[in-house]
Amino acid sequence: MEEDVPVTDADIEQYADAANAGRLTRSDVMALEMVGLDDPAYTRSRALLLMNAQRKGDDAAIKRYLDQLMMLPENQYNPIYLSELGRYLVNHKQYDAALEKANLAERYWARLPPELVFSKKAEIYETQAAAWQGRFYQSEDDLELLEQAIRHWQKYRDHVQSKSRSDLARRADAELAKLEDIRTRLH
Amino acid sequence: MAATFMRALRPTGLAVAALALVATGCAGKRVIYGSVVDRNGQPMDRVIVSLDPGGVELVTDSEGNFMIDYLRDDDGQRVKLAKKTEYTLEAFRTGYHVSRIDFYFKRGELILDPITMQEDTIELRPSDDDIDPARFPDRSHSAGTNYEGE
Repeated sequence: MEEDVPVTDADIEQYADAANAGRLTRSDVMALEMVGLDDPAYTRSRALLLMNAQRKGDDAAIKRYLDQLMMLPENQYNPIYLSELGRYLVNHKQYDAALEKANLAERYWARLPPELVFSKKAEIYETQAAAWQGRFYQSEDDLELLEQAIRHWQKYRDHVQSKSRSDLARRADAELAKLEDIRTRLH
Repeated sequence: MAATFMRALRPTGLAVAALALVATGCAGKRVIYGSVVDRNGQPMDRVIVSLDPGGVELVTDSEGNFMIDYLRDDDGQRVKLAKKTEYTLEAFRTGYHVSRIDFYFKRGELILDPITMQEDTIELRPSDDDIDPARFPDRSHSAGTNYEGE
C-alpha cells in the first residue's frame, strides 16, 4: 500500500541529511527510487540516492544512479553529474569516456553553484589528469599522452594551490614525480 | 677383445685437454637468469630490467624472461659480471610500480626468483560534496540558454 503513495519534492527533503551522511534506510531508498522520470522531483531523488551510494562506497549503485540521472537531457550537461560520471569512469579504466565527460563538465563549469566551483573544478581537472595518465598507461609508451598527463596534473596543482590546499597539491606532486621519472626513463 | 675395448675407451691426451678446456669455460661463465610476472603470475614482456652496478639495461622477452651475462664498464665495453658482489636489479614498465631487488652474486650461474610487478592503479575518490540540487538554484533553465547551454 505504501508504495502507491507518490513522493513529492517536499517529501524528499526528509531524506536529504541521511543521504548526505550515507544513512538512507532500505525503505528510504525504495521510496526515492519510486520517483518517476516525469516527476519534477526525479533529479533530486537520484542525486540523493547517488550521494548516499557514494558515502557508502556502493559502486554498483553509484553507476545505476548516474545512469538514471543521465536519462534526463538537462542532466547530460550538468557539470556536477558529468564530473561524478567522469570519476566513476576513471575508476573503471574507461579513460576515453572519462575524458569526454570531464571535458564536457569543464565546458559547462559556469553552471556550477558558487559554493562548488572550487571543489568541482578541482575534481574535473583531477579527472582529466587521471584519464590522460590512464590513456598513457594503456598505450605503448606514447610520449604525447605522457606530456598531456603531466600538463593536466600541473593544471590541477595550480588550481588547488590557489586555495592553499596543500593536501591536494601533494597528490599532484606525487603523480607528477612518478610521471617525470617515467619520462626520464623513456627518453 | 676385452682389452681392445678398454683401450678404445681410454681417453687420449688430446681428449683430456679438450675436456679440461670445456670445464674451464663452464666454470668461468657468469650469468644471471630471471623472469618478471604480474600479480596474477602471468609473464610480462617489454619490462626494462637494469642492474646496478653494471650499466646494462635489457628488455624481457615474450615469456617474461631475461638473462644478464655481461656488464658495461665506464667506456661502454662489455665486461664479465663481477664475482662476490651485491647487485640491485630494477624492473620498470609503464603503468607499474618500479620493482627493486637486492641480491648477492657469488659466481657462476644464478637464477633469481620471479620478480612480481604491481600495477599502478589510478583511483579517484568519490566526491564528498553535498550535491543535493535543492541546496543550489537551478542554472540549467536560466533565461537565454537551453539545457545544452548554447
